[in-house]
Amino acid sequence: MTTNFSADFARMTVGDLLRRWPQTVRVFLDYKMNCPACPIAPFMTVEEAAGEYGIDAALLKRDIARAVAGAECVQ
Amino acid sequence: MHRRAELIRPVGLFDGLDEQALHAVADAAREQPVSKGEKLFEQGDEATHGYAVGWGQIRLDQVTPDGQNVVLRHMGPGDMIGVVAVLRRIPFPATPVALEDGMVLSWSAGRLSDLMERYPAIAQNAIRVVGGRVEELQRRLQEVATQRVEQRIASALLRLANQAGRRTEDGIEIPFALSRQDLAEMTATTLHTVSRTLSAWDQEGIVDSRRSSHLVIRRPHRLVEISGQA
Repeated sequence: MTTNFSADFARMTVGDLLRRWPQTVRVFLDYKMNCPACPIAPFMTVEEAAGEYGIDAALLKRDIARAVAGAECVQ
Repeated sequence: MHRRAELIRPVGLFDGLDEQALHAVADAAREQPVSKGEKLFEQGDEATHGYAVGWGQIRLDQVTPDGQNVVLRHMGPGDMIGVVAVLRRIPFPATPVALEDGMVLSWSAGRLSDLMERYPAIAQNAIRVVGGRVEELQRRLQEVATQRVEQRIASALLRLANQAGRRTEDGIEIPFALSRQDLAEMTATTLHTVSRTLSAWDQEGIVDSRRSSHLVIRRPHRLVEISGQA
């Protein structure tokens, strides 16, 4: 389940991700990424954003998946 | 006549006037149709009349001593034009250009001072309206003074991308013709500075402003960094 999420995140824009799962804002901030306040978030994929900040995309996607899965479990 | 009173009701200068006063003001006004592209008066002309926009949009242009055009502001229904110059007895400091067909109301300088004497509320309103304009200019001046010009151009492009951009293979496309002059006027800088900045960004691969009339932001994150938002 988590791996499917990760694959989806690779193609999703950061803007869509943040809108759909607002709890992922925390993940970006923990990585010191400014995506939640960024005017071009609707145009960048998670992998592109990770690349711009020099962050390991696999780690970022794992943590995003955890944040999303955590929220789905609660619901 | 009644219609004219309705037109001046939203004009800030005439706030708080009772019906009788509003009708006296309307009675003293002259209606003047304006067509698209028409100039109400020219910068430097003697301020013989004050105006209020009845309907239509008007752009206020100012030419600097070295010949650059600056867009001061856009005016719509209820906005006053040239009244400050009339009150201060100085030449009009800018040129209003109609962006569409419309109608303005005008009062001669003599009529305006008569009205102010009869209705002191008008003079108080004038202070408030002028104060509001000063605040607006202070905000813009602060932006101009505190942000480097590259930051302002980057911010303007990012704002446009966010509002209207389209993701393409090459980057984010601004899907309409945006001239360097437009950008210069949006960011309070010169055409020369915008050209120099965009050329540098073209060379660095940050934008592509040459291939078509639609600018493409090729490295959006770099632009965010330049704007100081990253």
